[in-house]
Amino acid sequence: MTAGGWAVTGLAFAAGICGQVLVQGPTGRDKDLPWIEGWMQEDLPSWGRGPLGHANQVRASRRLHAAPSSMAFRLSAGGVKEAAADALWLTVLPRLGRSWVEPERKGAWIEAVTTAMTDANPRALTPVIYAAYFLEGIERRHPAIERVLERAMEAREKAPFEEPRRANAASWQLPEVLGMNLYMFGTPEEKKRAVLWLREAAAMPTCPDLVIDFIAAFRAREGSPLEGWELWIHRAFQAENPEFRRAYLEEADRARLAALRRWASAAEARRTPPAWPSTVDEVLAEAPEPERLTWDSLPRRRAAVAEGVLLHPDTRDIEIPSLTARLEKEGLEDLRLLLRHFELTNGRKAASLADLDSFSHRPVAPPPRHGTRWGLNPATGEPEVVPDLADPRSRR
Amino acid sequence: MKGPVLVVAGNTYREVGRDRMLHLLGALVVGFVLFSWVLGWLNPEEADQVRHLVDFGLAGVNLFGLLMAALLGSSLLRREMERRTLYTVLCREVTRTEFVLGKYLGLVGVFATGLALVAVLMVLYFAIFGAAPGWPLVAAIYGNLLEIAVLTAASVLLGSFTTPALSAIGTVALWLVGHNTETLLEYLQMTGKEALEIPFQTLYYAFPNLSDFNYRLAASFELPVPPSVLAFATVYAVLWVGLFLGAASLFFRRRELP
Repeated sequence: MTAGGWAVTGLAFAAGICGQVLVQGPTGRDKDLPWIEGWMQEDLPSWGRGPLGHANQVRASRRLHAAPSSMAFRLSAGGVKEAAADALWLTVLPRLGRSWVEPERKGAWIEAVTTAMTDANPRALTPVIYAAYFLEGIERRHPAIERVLERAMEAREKAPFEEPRRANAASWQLPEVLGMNLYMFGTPEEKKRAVLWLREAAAMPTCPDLVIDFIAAFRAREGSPLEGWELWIHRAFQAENPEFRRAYLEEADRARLAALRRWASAAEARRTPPAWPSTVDEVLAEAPEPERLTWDSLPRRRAAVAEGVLLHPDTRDIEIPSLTARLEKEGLEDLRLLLRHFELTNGRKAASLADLDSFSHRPVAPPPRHGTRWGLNPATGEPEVVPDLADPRSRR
Repeated sequence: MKGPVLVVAGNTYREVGRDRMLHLLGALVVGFVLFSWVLGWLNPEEADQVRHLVDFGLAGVNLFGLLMAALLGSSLLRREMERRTLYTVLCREVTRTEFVLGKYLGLVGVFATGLALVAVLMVLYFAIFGAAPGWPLVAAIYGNLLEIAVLTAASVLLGSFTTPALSAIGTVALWLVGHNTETLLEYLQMTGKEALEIPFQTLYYAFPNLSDFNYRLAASFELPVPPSVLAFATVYAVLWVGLFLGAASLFFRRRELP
């Protein structure tokens, strides 16, 4: 090698050392050790792995696996950061389930490796979800759960091209896992934050309906019965497919109708003698106070809640006609399929709907209008909606 | 009649195409892409298996592309000088600049051909496992080609004034730095260390930002890659290649031949 070559190599080495020292910062070397020994035992390994926080603590403990510093990991991975993160994940995976002598150190290790993976490949969700579950296994409300998930959510926004871009199809899981953890194991204050995270999850177009139903149910119990209505409307406006949009708006109407029915029942009980309310205003007067207070500043919200609502005091019913028509159509379609199934299985047509009772199937909800029931037209063999004065929903 | 640049490029294309090292590295790329299925299969989540397949496959292409650029690019000019074939070329109406440009274009042409073959293989291979990355995969491989073109130009530049070994090391170092300039700036923002501001910002502006050619994340998550981004990356790569080759030509013109 020429003298120039040696000089360039020496300079590169010196620059690398300086860079490492600057990047890693002081490592808290034991003062009692001779400097060369301390340098060999502590400083030198620390340049290879371990940033300033948790990873250093983890590294200090023997018998633990390597926890690479996020920064050093990314710097050394060069242009293949995503694949390096995947490779790290494959090495971490078999060790996640092992029991550790010091669980808190296992928690720190999980946090350190997950952070490195998240930073190198911001869109990989599985490692983060797994990390959260394994941290939960160590301690139900492990403080690192929130840090790991929040970092992943922050990193999720960092993707190529510096432009608004779609989230991962499965990224609703991050706020959902955090929200559920806070809701199930958190303090009352943390449960309030849980709602915010769960709402964020539910607002994502790919989030399963079950999450919305869950939030709607427990928020209704907490005195916010219109949570489900809002979430479904939000989702409807995100949907590009008109069929999906219609279905989501129908779900929103269902949630609104459920709340209105509860309020109508409350208004009925308040009257002496009990009587079904005859105006929508009477029904809305039973809404929880926080909801009614929002109507003072948002009168259009109140109008939206009452939109298209019809009251039927004679049958103790309240309906949204467009929803009723659609539910009736869906119910009839379900019954038609069941009748066809019955015919194919038993080799004869059903004589009445009672025949279906002995037939294993998903139960069909009763028709939406009070004072009606499903019937079978003997002439055509087609299901239909028939008046039913004995409908228990019509009586108090 | 072909210009001297194209003649040199054509000869280089044929010469490098017969190089055993290229064949070996090419076989390794194909092996790595095929092996990526095993790595994907190790993942317990089915949805992640295909993603790992794409991630590892494209990472293999990038790594072996780097090796090819570093090993073949660094010895491109030196080999001509050692074999004395350079004299027979330069005694005709070929300037040294044209020679450097022709050699470079020939080499990049070989890489482009190789990458096109690998792209076809990858699309077919990924399709077997249900992945349909389509346009993002093509964009990722095109980004790889741009990156390799820039690294090859850098390798040729380093090879024009130093030994092939140092040139190869320098190219790998450039790959590391080029992919990390943004990470360094991020570190700066995170820690607020003012002492590092000038050196890190110098690194950021003095080296090509190779992350601009990285669409591997987009390919593995099937994200759209806007054509404007590809156009920008192409212009950016051409500018850096021009800069590196201009400097290489300058060094090579002043170089005393043995």
